[in-house]
Amino acid sequence: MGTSSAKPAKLLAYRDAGIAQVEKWEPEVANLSTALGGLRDALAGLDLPEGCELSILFEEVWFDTLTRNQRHLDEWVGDVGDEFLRASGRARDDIGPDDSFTVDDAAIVVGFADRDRAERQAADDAAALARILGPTGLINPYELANDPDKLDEMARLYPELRDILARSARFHADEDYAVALVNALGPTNVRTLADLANTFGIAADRGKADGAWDGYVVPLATLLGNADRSGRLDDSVRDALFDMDAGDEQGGEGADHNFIIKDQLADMRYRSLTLLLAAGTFSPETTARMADTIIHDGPLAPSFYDYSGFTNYQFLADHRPLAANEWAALDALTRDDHAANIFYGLHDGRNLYLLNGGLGADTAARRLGVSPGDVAGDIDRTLADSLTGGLQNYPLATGTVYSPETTRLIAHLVEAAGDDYVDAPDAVRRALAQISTPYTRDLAVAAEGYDRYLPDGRLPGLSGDEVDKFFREVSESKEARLVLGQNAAALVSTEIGESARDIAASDPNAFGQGSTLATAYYRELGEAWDHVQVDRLAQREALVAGWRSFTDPVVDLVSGKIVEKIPVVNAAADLPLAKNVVDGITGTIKDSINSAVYDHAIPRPELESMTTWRDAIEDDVEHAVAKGLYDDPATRQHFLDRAAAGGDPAYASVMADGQVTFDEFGRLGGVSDAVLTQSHRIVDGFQSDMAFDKMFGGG
Amino acid sequence: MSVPKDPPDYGYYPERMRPVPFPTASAQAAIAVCDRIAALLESDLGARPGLVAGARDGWEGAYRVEFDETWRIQEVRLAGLKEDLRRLSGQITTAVNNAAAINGQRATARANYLAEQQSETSGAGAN
Repeated sequence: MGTSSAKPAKLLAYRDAGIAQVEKWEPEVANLSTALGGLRDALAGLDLPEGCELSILFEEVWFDTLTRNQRHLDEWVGDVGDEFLRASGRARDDIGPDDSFTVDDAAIVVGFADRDRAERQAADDAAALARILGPTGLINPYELANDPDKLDEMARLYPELRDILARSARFHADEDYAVALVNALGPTNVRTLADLANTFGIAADRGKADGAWDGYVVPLATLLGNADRSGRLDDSVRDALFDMDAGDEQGGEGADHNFIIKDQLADMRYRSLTLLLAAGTFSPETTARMADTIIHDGPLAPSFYDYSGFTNYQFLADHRPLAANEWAALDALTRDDHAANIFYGLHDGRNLYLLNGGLGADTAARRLGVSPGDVAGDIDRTLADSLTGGLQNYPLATGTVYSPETTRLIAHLVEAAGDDYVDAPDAVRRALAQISTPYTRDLAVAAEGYDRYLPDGRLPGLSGDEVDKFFREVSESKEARLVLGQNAAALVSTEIGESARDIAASDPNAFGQGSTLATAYYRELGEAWDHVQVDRLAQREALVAGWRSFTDPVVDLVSGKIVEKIPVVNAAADLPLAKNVVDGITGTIKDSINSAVYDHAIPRPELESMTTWRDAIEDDVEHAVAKGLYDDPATRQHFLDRAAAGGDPAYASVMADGQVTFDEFGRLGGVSDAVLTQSHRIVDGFQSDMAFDKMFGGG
Repeated sequence: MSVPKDPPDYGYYPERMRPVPFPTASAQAAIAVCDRIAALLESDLGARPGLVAGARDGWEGAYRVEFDETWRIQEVRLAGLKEDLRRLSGQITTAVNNAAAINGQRATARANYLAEQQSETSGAGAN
């Protein structure tokens, strides 16, 4: 082969524009099918006179074929563009529209531009695989223990399978090829291939199938994942992956009357499922189902002797989550926010009760040769990330933060966190506090008891008692307390913003609702913090640091304005993309939380000297009131007009350049009066409703 | 012979006068979809040369050849499908129109037939 040149940006632009066209055609395929099918049905059996007869060919089938062909071709062009980038070591963001690259043809690894040709190749490859495969990919545990030749015999299949899979790796991005191949293989062969993933793992652990992870598991999982994501995988083939009972199959002999062997065979299959999940990228629905199956139905601790493959220390050093099936399952969820969202909604929210963490820690510790405590923290962070991805990032990215499905899930999460049997690790507590941020006002409403003068809460069926238990659980973590402190400050700030016009009008009840909600939220926090015996200075620190560190994105989350600010992505979009959409927002929040503890660490003497709400937050509340008045264009203009009409001496200098900055705005006499009056009212309200001593137990 | 009180009781009429049971609503729905897709294809195929030219800009080698060959066949097929849909839409439209024309003629024939029958009935009564 020779060399190829291209401008990758042009190929990718073609792909995007071409797919945009095809996406308009695709729904029309079904419309044409319905219309022509309906007409054919209506004409069937009619005896029509000459001139009224119709013969309708199957244009809808041809349209479907050509639409699929076009998508295939357009995606292929994009694959070629991606390959030029990969071969040149460049990223898309890193190139200009006319940057040209020349590479060896062999460096471009793509399938065929023509879909028919790709599917014919898939059929050939499926036949080649089927010829090699025996009736089973399992090794009976009894034989594994007593007849080492059996494993050698099975391991001898590896090089041939590896070579075919290496050929098929050319089609790593081709879903049409993958689904044609996998469907042609059928459920029995796919089950055998899946079983071999673990069997080769056992062989690899014993030095009999070197490289089987990269040479077998990864390409097989890539194929299966591509086929699954195409949306055209036969259900029977997918279900074969979830068939954990080998008792009725060759290789599973003895399982029907020996529960130990039955469980050991099931251990092998759960491990196979785990390996495929870890190595592939499946659809969100299948990823969630795989994780759910592994976590809920898999063995709590694989039996001794361990029949799980790819568990030797050297391998796990580079693939730590594979040290335990449950950890690997959670890890897969962290790579797919949509899958995590589905996972936590499965079975009426039962996965929300996994909050205790430590899933698989004993097994992982045994395989890694460390103590469970050493590995539990890593597993808990993975769990926390999956929660944040599924219950915060995904709803934010898809504009479903306040959809009925999400609010039901969040209400259930709050309830689960407060369950008597839940004692979450700190990483999870922090995640829970963050996830609760967009629902801060709703938690305050529930805490207050759904007063008829308050807005409706959006968390269905949540009681004040459940909010209390949620806060108690979450508040045992210092970082989570800080998040809650930020949420509280952002709630006050939000309510001030919404009251800006009433404040400007000197309405004495301007902050009435805000006061009720903020008081309820602070009261719940204070009671929870007392209950879990957070010491007084730590309470003050979280409260004050929350005020000093909350950011605009936090206010946007609490106020719900975030929904308008994040460009909503298609729910079916690639989830890493969805994650990126919200990373700018959640990243800012994470950064503020990470740094707040240190940047805003409040010296102990200062904390000790605070004995009133005024000491603690008055300056911050003043700032929030001024900002609320400044941010609302109507109130900003109101105070400017007043200053002009009243001959405010500051007015001329403030408006010298025709603009008014926030600092300049605060210098206007009317503004400073309103700020002082209102901030005093707010702080006095907190002081009288929940005296510092009462909430924080005195100095 | 009884005259139908509340036509259309089409069974009353000779078969050649009964309405053609043409599925006009289904036919019109099919016409609409065929026309819409044909227009979509026409518009998108019109834009494709620009897209394809963009991709081909600076693209040389084996994969460019593979693209050209595949796109050449696909373009011909898509253009053919667009024409097929137009033709089908036209055929269905003709059938709809023919059915409507025949039904118009048959309605007239039924009205005449009914008038004749009523006239015969009243004439028989006068006798």
